[in-house]
Amino acid sequence: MSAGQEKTTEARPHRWQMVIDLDRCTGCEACVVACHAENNIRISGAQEAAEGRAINWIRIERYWEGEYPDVKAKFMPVLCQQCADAPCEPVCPVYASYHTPDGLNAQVYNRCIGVRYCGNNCPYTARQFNWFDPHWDPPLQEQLNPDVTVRQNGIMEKCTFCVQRIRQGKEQAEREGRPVRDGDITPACVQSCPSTALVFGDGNDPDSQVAQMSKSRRGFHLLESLGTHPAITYLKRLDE
Amino acid sequence: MGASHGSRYIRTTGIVLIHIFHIFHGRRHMNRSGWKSFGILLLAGTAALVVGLLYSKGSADSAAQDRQPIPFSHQFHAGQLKLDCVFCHRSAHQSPTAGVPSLKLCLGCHQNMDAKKAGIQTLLDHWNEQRPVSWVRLQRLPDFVYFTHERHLAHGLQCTTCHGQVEHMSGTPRAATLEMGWCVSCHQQRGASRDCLTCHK
Repeated sequence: MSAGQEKTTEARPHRWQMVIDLDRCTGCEACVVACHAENNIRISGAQEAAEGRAINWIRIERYWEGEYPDVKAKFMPVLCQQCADAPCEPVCPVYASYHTPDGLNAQVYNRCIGVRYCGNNCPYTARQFNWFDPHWDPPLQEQLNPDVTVRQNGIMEKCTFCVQRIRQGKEQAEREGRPVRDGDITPACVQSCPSTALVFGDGNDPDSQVAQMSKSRRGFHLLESLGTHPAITYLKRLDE
Repeated sequence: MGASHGSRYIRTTGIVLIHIFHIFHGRRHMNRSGWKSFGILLLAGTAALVVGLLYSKGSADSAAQDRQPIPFSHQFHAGQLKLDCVFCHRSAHQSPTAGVPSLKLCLGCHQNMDAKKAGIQTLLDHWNEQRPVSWVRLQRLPDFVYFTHERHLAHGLQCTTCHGQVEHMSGTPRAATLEMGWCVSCHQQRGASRDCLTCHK
């Protein structure tokens, strides 16, 4: 690709962002299931999960408030916050963890040597280590996504904002000779959310839904005081 | 490629071994421990040579693996008959993979030809038994690499840039290592993206 051609379709760098409306989240975990299916995430049994070896790129954190019978369950989907100033990146000794021009915290699996510094430095525990080789009981191996690497034993993995879908969206836009439009790209979790609590888009596009919603007065970032500048904005519940 | 990689390796290891031998041989009075350490070094050197050879063989495919069930010749089809690459590899312009032609496409020409050659008879046998030909895949990229033919062709690359002068090759050998350094050098020359996630998934 010549630099000139790149400019016609990629005039403005993207900054992929997400907005999670906590008032809409019902804690159904459809996003978790969709993420597992899309990203070839290994299936851990109850035993491994109990030992803290399970892998989830997105998880639903559940909080109980109040005393029985006046109990309220509150849910919060937590995934990699794709920080602009990511604590995971500078600690990697082999540059497997790095920042893409689109503002993603990427993990290059073939470069990773599994020292786990990145995972230890992540305040959101969004990175997980593969303690075992992946295994799928037949015929489940048939549903593996060919666009996503099957990670092996000994390396770190994390949410990619479904980079394969981002790549696909960009390629489709280039094929049609137009810039990427808002809504072209939806990560698996966003696509599967029945209450549209998750919204994804280009934060550098001022007209995108995600850019508009992140300006909301309800907006906040996880562990904002750490100065990681996450790409994910949470919207507070309305009853708070 | 495996061969050049291997021979370079043998040469360097050989030179190192000769030097070790000279260092120890140069001693006027080689005592017992001297011979012992010489032996250990020699053993270690041989072990390194064997491991290195195995590694260099494994890192790149060689033409020796080109054992197709039918002795198909690119030289004949692309060279003499001047068939366009995408006549058979039809999905190269539309998809990540170039695609292997269906048996039906082969039969498009071959059903009206006499099957004197053994290879063509095998092809017709496959067709009569409605059994696909199990071609051996030679161009394979690791699972962690994302590569698409479509984008490379869309940006004006020719098939021969990566696959070599296939019309002069009798088999289907690999013309390039398909290793990362080789990819990156071309991306660098052409000003293509060198972001890791362009090619790694």
